[in-house]
Amino acid sequence: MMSQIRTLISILKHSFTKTDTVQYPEEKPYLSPRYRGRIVLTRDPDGEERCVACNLCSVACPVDCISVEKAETEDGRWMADTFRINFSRCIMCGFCEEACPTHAIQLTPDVEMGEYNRQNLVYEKEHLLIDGPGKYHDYNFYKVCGKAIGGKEKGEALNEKPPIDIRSLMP
Amino acid sequence: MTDKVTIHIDGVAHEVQAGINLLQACLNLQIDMPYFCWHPAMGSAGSCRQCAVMHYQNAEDTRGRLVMSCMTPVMDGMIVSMANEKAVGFRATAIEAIMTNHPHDCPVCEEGGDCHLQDMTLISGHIKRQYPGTKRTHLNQQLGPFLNHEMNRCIGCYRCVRFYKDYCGGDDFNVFSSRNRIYFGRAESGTLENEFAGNLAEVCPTGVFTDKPFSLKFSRKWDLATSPTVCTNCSVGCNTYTAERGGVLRKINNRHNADVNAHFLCDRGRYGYEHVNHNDRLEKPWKRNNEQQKVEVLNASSAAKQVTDWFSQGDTVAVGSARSALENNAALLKLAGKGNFYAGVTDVELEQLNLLTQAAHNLSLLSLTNIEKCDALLMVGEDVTHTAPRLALAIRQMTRNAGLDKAAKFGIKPWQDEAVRNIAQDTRSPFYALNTHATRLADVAKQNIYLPPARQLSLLLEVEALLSFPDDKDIASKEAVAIAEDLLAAKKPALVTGTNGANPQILAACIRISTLLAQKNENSGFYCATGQANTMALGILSDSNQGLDALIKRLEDKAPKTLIVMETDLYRYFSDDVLDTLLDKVTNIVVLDQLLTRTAQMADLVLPTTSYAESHGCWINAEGRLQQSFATMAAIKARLPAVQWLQSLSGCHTNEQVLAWCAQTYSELAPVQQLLETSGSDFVIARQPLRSTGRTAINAGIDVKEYPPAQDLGSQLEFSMEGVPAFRQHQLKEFTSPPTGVWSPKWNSSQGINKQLESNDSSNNNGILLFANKTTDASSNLETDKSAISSDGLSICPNHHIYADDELATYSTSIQQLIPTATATMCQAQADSLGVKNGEPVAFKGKGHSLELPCAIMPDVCEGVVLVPMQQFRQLGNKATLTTAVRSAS
Ligand code: SF4
Ligand code: SF4
Ligand code: SF4
Ligand code: SF4
Ligand code: FES
Repeated sequence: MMSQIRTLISILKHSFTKTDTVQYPEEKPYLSPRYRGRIVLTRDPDGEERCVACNLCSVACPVDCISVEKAETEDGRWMADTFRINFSRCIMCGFCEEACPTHAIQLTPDVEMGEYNRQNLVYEKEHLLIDGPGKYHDYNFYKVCGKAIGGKEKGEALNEKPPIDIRSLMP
Repeated sequence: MTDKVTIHIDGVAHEVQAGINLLQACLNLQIDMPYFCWHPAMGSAGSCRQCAVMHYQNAEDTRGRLVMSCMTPVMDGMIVSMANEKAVGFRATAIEAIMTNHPHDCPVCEEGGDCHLQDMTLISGHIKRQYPGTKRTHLNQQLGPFLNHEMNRCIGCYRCVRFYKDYCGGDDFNVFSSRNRIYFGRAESGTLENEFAGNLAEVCPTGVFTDKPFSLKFSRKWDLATSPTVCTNCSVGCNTYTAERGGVLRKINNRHNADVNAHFLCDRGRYGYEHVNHNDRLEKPWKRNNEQQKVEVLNASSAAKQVTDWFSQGDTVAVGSARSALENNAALLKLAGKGNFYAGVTDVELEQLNLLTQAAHNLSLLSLTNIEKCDALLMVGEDVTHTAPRLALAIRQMTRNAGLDKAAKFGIKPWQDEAVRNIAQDTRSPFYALNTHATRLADVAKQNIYLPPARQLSLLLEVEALLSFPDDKDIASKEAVAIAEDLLAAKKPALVTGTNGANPQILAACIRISTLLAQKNENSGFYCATGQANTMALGILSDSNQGLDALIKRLEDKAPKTLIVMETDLYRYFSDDVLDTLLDKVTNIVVLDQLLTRTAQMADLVLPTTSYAESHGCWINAEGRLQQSFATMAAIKARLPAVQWLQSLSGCHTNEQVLAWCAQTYSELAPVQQLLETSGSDFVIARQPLRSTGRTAINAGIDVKEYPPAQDLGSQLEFSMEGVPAFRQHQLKEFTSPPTGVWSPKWNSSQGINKQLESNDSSNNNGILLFANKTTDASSNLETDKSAISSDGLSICPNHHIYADDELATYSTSIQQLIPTATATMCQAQADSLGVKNGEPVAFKGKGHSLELPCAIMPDVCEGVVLVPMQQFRQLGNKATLTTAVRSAS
């Protein structure tokens, strides 16, 4: 008897508290920038594609929904020839972002991805690539790595000495 | 069985093989001992300091001293500790020091995921970089079509230079400068000249040298589905791993077979796979419609029915192939009948093959490993570097034996590489190269003898006589005496020749000499390189003299109604002038091939066959070793193995049925029965590694629905990750395929193979030797035709080239870049007597074909010989003549 009364009171009280549920989609909840939603490929501060097609995201992915194929430009830069995410399989775990050594792949707070046709959930590189650097503004992998690319010769990366002249006899 | 000693590692007693070093013993025991500079084939250098362990004098010794395990021989009762704090600390410091200069490259490094350095860094416990200083950098070099060079990644282990210079004898690669500035490369950019340079991609523990063609269609190791295959680019039959992803063949890696290639492949084999991905590959059956002047694409069943219809009209002639599996050839032979089956090689080669197969039971045909153990060797008639490349590398190692023996007298073990080389200096086991011109092994030969074929033959006759009557020295030449003396004095003498010189007389003489030697010394042996990967199978299947020249005669006499040509491009053997008219007379030409060859263009019906990467099959190498090769990927589009296309005609529907027929019909092939009996177990085996990625995305671009992987009905291998992974296969006693890949926990790089060498050596996956049983068959007619010796005048001889000669390999763009232009090569004196100058045309005629080649003057070609590239030589035949008007030398 007492417990039923307690229940009634509690329900009545709730009728006057502010609701957590919002009238989605008219009203949208706040999702923090680090929320794990739709995946994007970002660009480095110079506007070049960050992804170097290293395949670390695809190997980290527990549902194997990322497929990457490498291409290389004339001047030595690695990049993705194909970059495909099958979002109908993606579980938004964020492992790919964690694995990415270049900060290329990032999850965004956009979760509105519903489709009637499953095929439309397959995103190719052109659908994934955005214009900015995403959450990480400054990192530029090629400034750190030792591989020479156009505009950055050997010895011009961070923490590098100029290339050795092997014919020098200096000690 | 070899001797055993007991060693104590961290308090545990282990029995290990005596005479080896501690590092190798640990690896054999599956202990994860890190190392860089050691290599099983090249021994120890002791330079990387990565394999340190604590060694105690005796049970009372508690301090111990640090030793490099690769430099320490195992001794009975030896006490060592790997887990000792100081040893662990030393190894961690060593790797940290090595890594101070290492670039931040892994994501953009082809080695990543297959990197010995990554593995060792983790095993040694170096996780976080502490060094704040700057890194040294290096400029790279262009090293040709096969290898990338990224010197920043070098850790200075010296493996590359020890392989290239010491092991392969290359002289255009070296180590330069000193200490931190040390540089491994060429004096200046340029294509690496050595035929084995491609191995650097596997030998180098880092990403300094990586496979360039692979880099163009790159995939991480964890994504590559691999299967055990046999190289189909020459008659040595090296064991390979063929790796695929998404229906594209990505790369070839070495597969360890202790009796054949062990750790290394040649560059033809490593890079000659691109025909599988080629634009000119045949994918659908099609039929020519002459009335409407067009080509109709057929479906599989109507194509098969068309062949059956034509075949049932009778009068069918079939051509087998030296680059197709045994099963395909046998099926074709079975349906056509012996009289109508022509082997896809020249008559001369078939004649030589018959000599060889008849004598093979009496000769001991050597494996490459046994060649390496010989102590005197005579190579006759061809430079095997160009015809059976891996064999040449074995011969090069053979010449080291005298030096190794000399070192052994001082108690130096063969793996103590630097010490051995110091003692050996230029001491070499006697090796004679008898050829028309300089060979690539000239630098290690005791004597290089350049003679025209007729005089080679008379020299061989002298040697033969001297072997029977060693005292008759005065009637023989100096060379013959030296050769005979060395062969007789040796503990393990060997004779190496080949069928590619197209000279049956020389082969017969070599067989006679080997037989004589074998009577005197049961350890002696013989090797005869044959033309292509499965030439030997043709030699066994067709004992008549029906080669391609006989085919041409048959076509000339009376054209058959139907001609079935399987995986042979007749235009490689005959010129257009000869073939076009002959083929026009045949009513129905059926071509089974994987590529759109010239012959396929002449076909009325084309049936696309699978490449070696899409089908199972048996290949018989030059020593009569039958090896199984397993499909790497499912057949592309409508391709089928020839056995399947022909199944209703041959009555054999599976490879097993064909093999069973072979085992019954041919006494040489009776051992094949073993294969039929042993295949069968409940387990399936995975081709894909444990961590294959993108499985739900790779095909999603076409269709998001996921389809089951293709089924492989011909073997227990699965085209997926399903089944037993490669590294657990040795636990399956009843399964007989070699492992599908090299990987083991902590060892992502293929260096992990070095933990499995012991089990590999004793495995029965090394192939079946068909000629192992000695018989006392009456030998065939091996008499020398005396006129062959006296034939004076000019000989036109083949000039072999590793990259130009193999049909399939030439489809690779990387290999194409290294094919030399065709020339008529001769020495200055010969050119003078012909009155031609360098670059001037020389005209030839043979087999109804005439052609002109520019003259090229080369030293070290004997007088009386004009060399013509093998391809042109094949078309001219071995009775070619020179038609250049001989100008009077004024
Ligand atoms: S997104 Fe990052 S982890 Fe994935 S392939 Fe590109 S660079 Fe590598
Ligand atoms: S060599 Fe190995 S450790 Fe070095 S960058 Fe390449 S993958 Fe990384
Ligand atoms: S290039 Fe490779 S093999 Fe040669 S020393 Fe450097 S790391 Fe070792
Ligand atoms: S030697 Fe012959 S079998 Fe071996 S890899 Fe080279 S081409 Fe292939
Ligand atoms: S492997 Fe022992 S020192 Fe390098």
